[in-house]
Amino acid sequence: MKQLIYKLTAVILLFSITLSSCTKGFEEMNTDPNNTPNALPQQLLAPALVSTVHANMLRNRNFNNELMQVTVDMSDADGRVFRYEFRSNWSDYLYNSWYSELTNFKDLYRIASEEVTFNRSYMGIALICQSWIYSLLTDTYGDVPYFESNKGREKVYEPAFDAQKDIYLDIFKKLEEANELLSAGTAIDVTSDPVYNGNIGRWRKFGNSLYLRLLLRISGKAEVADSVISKIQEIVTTSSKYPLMANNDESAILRWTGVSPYTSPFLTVREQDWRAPAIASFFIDNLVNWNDPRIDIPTYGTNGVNRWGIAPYQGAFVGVASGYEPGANPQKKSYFYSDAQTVNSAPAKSLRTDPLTGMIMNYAELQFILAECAARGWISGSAENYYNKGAQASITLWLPQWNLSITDYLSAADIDWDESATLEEKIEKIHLQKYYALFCTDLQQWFEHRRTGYPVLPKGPGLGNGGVMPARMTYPVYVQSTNPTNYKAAVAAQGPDVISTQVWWQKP
Amino acid sequence: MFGVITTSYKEVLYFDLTARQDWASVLATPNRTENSGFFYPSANVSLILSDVMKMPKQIDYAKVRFSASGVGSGQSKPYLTAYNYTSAGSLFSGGLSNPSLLANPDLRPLRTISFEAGTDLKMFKGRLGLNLSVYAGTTKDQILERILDRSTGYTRMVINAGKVQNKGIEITLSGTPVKSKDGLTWNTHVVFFSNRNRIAELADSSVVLRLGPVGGGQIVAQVGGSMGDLYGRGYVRSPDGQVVYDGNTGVALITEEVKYLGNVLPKFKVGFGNDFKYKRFRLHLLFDAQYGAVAHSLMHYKLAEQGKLTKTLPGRYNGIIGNGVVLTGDGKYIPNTVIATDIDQYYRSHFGIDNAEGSVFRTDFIKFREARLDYSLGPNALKKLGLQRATIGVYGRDLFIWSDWPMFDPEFGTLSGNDIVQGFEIGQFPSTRTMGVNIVVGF
Repeated sequence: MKQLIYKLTAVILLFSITLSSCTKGFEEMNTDPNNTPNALPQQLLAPALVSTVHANMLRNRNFNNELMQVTVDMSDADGRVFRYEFRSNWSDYLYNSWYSELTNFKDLYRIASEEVTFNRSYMGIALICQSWIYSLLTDTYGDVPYFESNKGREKVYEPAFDAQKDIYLDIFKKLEEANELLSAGTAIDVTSDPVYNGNIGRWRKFGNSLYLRLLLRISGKAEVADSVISKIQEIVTTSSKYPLMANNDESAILRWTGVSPYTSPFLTVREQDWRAPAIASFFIDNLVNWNDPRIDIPTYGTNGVNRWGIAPYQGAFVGVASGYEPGANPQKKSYFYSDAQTVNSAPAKSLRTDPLTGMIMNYAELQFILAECAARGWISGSAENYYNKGAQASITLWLPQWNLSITDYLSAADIDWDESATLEEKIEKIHLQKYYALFCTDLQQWFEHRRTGYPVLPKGPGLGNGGVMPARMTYPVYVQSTNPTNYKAAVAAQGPDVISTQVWWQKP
Repeated sequence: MFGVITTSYKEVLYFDLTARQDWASVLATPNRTENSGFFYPSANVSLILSDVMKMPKQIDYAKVRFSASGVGSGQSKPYLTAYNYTSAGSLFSGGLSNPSLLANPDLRPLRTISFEAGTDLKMFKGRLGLNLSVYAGTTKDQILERILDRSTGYTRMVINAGKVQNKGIEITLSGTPVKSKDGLTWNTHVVFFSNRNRIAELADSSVVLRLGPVGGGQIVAQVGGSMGDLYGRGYVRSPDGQVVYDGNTGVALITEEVKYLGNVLPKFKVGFGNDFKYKRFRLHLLFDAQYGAVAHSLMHYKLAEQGKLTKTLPGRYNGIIGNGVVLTGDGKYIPNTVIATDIDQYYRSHFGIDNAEGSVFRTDFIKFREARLDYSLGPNALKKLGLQRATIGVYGRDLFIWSDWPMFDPEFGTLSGNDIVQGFEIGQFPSTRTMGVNIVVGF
């Protein structure tokens, strides 16, 4: 045994460094020098407003306008929106954009309610913008995450979906709170507000006008009709408590000045893509029949281009009938000019660079809301009067110099108010004009058509979805895996995740 | 801090122990440093069998080894632990937005514990060598970015992703089949790797790691699944797996929900290299192969959708009957006899934007990776030229690919941040075939 030689080598290396020095400086090292952990209300508001309106404008143009026969993006390809065949790949953009901006508006409220940065007006504006975006979300998709949404920072990674009814009722609470907060008129940084330049009174009026838009939207549901109608009455009758927009200047519009960062988001659409869709016959034929000043070149045009920048075809405005069958190959005639085109040796006036396309909610829409409420007998006041004011504001928003008598204009166009008509005829008349007032306003034409069935759109033979106006967008496909349990619960509660499933307020 | 103990017994048995403590600065936050430290030990035993016991005479050397080791790691990307606003763009003076990537102030270091057993064998006087190892390990808290439902307010978040079990085998066989007196030598080696992983634990029922460009394509981690599981929308199939077509239009039906489409990580990879030497000539040939993975091809989707692939020619003028079944009103599947006349829609149903499955293909390949033939000048010729050495050769890389992948090159990597992502080809340039002549002159 002793002949066994043990050969043992042991090497121990030990760098004994005190523990504290190993982590010294880590806190400082992990403080990002390029970004900040704190934000002020005035830093958050403008970028969030611009991003939200940007997303709304792009989908107004290539989604709402296609469904609602403003334009026809002519193609025989599968999945065209104008044929009611849009697919789930349309769903992600708005869902993602809107929830991203909600993070900013909720954060704005949080920061403005903290002691050091306390400001009632920023809180109120944040609530109005949240209400606006949540209503767009639920009107587009139906049940969506609301109470648990935008709480990733609080470790809610799979938010539950909420019923549309509960969402609406809570939005109303937000708008009440906003009206209260804004009544103090606390000043804000003027440069942080590209919509009203710090005019708090106007924000308050917009909030209450939005309140009416949303009350009216769910007024057809028997379970809430009574409380909704009495709220509408209260708002309309107590103007001291609920001031409303009083003229076009008070419209909520993010006006594109052309100076960065307020250049029109339509500039991100390539010129040739901008010109690609044809004007739909439904949209243009009415304007031609009425001799609408907004397409009048000689009197109200600029350098040979009408106010809405629509190109004539052989001296006339001619559209394409939407919903045609693949293979029918109609010819594109009128379309929206792009600004690179030359008319009368000047750059064409184009909606691509127009200041008014950043529409959030305009005064004309409010008048048509009131006209409908009056026609239904919910509020006193003359429906005719509201209707005429709406039609007038709809024109003068775009053409302030238009000074003809609105009643003369309407009767010449044979769209004047008829007090002896049936309620249904009155509603139809209001909504035909409202359709033009909602031009450029996110997806409102589509929402209102789903609610009322007006304006009555011609149905082409190539329509999918059984020829029925699609009732929603599907949820983005990735939500099926990122939020699987709640997604399944939402589908079970609302119905199949397809474009024909009606949302709560649309269900009979 | 690092410690190591190395011992040996009679130079046949070796035993190593290491212990290490690291602190990764990226895991600290501006407010704390607790999670930044991690400790990891390892132990290795190896025994030279051929010195301990009598071996058959063909075996020159045999060694077995076992090891157990822990490895920890932070991350290389900084600032993932603290919530910071991002600039809303230089056009807004001082404008800020909330970030889209949600920071994780509780981020912990990744820990891997693995056990490995292996053997080294040398046989026939060094003419044949075998190196084999098998391993099994568990990785905890891998640091990954998870895709979130945007209704959380964020696009992605940094997470510690549960527990993943890995097991695998690596075999290297090297030999010299020919070594003749007249100067011909042939050395060859084969390398084989195979790895399987299984997700044992996750924070949530399903964690989306990556989104593809079309058809809801996505890589989803689920307990019991593997890290590279690819999901997406695909064909509606009958119980026996046939594609179901629309009974009226003859186009393929696409599922509303995402389904499992395969795994993007190869089951095994093989390398096969050969070196021949004859007098002053040297020839080097290298082949690579991989097997068992799938990937989604954006290029295939795009070209097929635009009708630029020859596979979209059939039926362009007279319509086509898709190979599959239709579902009858009474719930029976019968062979499809409907002629699809809208050929654009027909091919879109197969390869369009809604169908991820239609553009998912196997990435199996064999590549003739490298060939090289050199001739070196002899001492006499060198002397005449006054040179130390001179070699002339021709070489080629990526010479041929044998693969069913439809779009040029099944080997692609998508760079996303610091990670190379497999599974989604997004129109990368394929690797190029290189050929050249090489002259090396030494003075």
